[in-house]
Amino acid sequence: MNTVSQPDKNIISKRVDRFFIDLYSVTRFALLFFKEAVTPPYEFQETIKQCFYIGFKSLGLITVTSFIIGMVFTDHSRPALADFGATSWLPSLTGAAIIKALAPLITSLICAGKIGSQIGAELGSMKVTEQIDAMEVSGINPFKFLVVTRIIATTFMVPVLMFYSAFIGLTGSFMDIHFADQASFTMFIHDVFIKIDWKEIISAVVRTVFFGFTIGLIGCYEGFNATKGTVGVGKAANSAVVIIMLLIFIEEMTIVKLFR
Amino acid sequence: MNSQQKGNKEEVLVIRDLYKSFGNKHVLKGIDFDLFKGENVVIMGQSGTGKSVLIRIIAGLVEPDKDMVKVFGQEVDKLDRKELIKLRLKIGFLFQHNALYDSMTVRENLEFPLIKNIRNITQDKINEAVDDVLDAVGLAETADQYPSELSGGQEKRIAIARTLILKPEIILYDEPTSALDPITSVEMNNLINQVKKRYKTGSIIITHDLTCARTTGDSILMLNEGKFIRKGNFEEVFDTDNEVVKGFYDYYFIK
Ligand SMILES: Nc1ncnc2c1ncn2[C@@H]1O[C@H](COP(=O)(O)OP(=O)(O)O)[C@@H](O)[C@H]1O
Ligand SMILES: [Mg+2]
Repeated sequence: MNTVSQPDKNIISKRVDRFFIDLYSVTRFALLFFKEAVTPPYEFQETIKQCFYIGFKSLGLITVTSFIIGMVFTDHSRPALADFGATSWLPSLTGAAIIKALAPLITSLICAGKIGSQIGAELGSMKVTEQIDAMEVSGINPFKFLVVTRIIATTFMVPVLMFYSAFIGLTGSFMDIHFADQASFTMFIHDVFIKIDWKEIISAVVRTVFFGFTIGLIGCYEGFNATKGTVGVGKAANSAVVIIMLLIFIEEMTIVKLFR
Repeated sequence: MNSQQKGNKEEVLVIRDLYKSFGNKHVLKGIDFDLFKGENVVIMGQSGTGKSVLIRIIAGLVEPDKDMVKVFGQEVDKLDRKELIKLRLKIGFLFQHNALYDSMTVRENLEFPLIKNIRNITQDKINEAVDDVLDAVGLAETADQYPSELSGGQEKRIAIARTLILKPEIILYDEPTSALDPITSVEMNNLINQVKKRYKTGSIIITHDLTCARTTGDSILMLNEGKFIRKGNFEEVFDTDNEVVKGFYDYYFIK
C-alpha cells in the first residue's frame, strides 16, 4: 500500500497536482476495498465487532440531537403554518423534512465527526507506531482486517442509524405536536406518511449507504496514510472529518437531483 | 570465517548488490550480505544510514530498486502475495518501538498471529504456544495485561515473544536496546542470546549500543553512507583508524 509520491516538478501547481494525486490514490484504495471484500477469508467476527462499536459510539449523540431537532423544528414551523390556518399540515411537513433530509444528514454528520475521526486516529496511530507493518510481517493482511471490516461496518450501520434517527426525530416532533395540539399518535403517524412514498425512503437509504461508505473509506484512507509522529495522527483524524463532510454535501446534492 | 566453515552451515539469507533510493536520496548503494542459521550478525551505523530500510527490505515491507535478496533460496521481490506470506512467517521482526497491538491484551497479541495464520488451530495448541513463548521471555504473569501497563523492558520482551510464536528461523531486531536503561539492556542482550540457543535462529541485530554489539554479535558490520565499511568480530571492526568507526567508539565513551 504505497501512496503515490509527489513528482519532483509540478505539472500545474502544487495544490492542484496534490489534489489529483490524492484522488487517484483514494480511487485505488476504494478499488482495493472491493477486491479484498469479495476474496476470502472473510473477517466476519471483526466486522460485527466494528458494527457494534459504531452503534455504541454514536447512539447517544444521535438520540439527543435527533430528538431536539425534531422537536425544535416542529415548534419553529408552527407559526408559519398558523398564518395560513394550516397547522393540521404540521405532521406531514415535519415528517417529510425529518425522513427525507434531517435524519440522513444528522446521522451521517454525527458519524463523520465521531466515527470518521475515530477511524482516522485509530488507524493513523497504528500506522505510525508500526502496528500495521507488524501485521504485515506476521502474515496478516492489514487491509482486510482493518480497512475492509470498517468500511463494511460504516456502510451498513449509517443507514440503520438513519432509521433510528428518523424514529427519534419523529418522536420529538410528536411530543411537540401532542403538547400543543393534543394530537394522537396514530393520527400523527398517519399524517406523516401521507406525503411520503417508498421512493423517498429508498432515496434516503441510498444516500446513507453512500455516506456510510464515504465515512469508512476516507477515515481508513487518512489513517492508513498518516505520516510519522503524533501530528500525523491528529492530521489524519482532522482531515478525515473535513473531507467526509464535504463529500457528504456533494453526494447529498447529486443523489437528491438524480432521484427527482 | 573461512569458506570451509561456510560450507557446513545452512545459509538462510543472501543479499547481493542491493540498491535502494527514495526519490533522489540514495540510501543503500550496493549491499552484500550473508546470514547463516544460528548466527547473530550485528549491524551498526549512524542514524539515517539505512539500517532499518535494509531489514524492511528483507521482510518484504519495502521494495528494493535493484538487487538480489534470497531468503531460504527464494528471491523476495519475485514472490506473489501468497508466497511472500509463507516466507514472512519464517521471518520475525522486532520493531524499534515494539508495535504491540495496544487494543489487545498480551495474550491476544500473542494469539493473533497464530489464529490468523493456522486455520482450525485448537485452543489447547494456542495456549501451549503462548505459554512456551511467555516462558522463553520470562513474563508469564503479564498475560492478561494491556501493553500500556507494561514497562519498557517488559514491552520489548513481549514483542520478542510475539515474533517467536510463529517459530521464525530468522529474527530481525531493530535497535532492541535503544529505549532501555543499561541494566534492562543487559537483560535484553542475554535474552537475545538465549533465543538464539533455544530456537536456533539466525538474527540480524541493529544497534548503536556497543555492549549489545559485543555480547550478542558473532560478527559485526559497520554501515556508512549506504555501504558496509567494516566487517568482522568486535575487535577486528574497531581496530582501525577509520574516522567513522572511531567516532562511534569515542562518542560512546564520551571522551
Ligand atoms: N518510506 C520512506 N520514504 C522516504 N524516505 C525514507 C523512507 N524510509 C526511510 N527513508 C529515508 O532513508 C534513510 C534511512 O532511514 P533508516 O533506514 O530508517 O535509518 P536508520 O539507519 O537510522 O534506521 C533516512 O534518511 C530516511 O529519511
Ligand atoms: Mg532505524
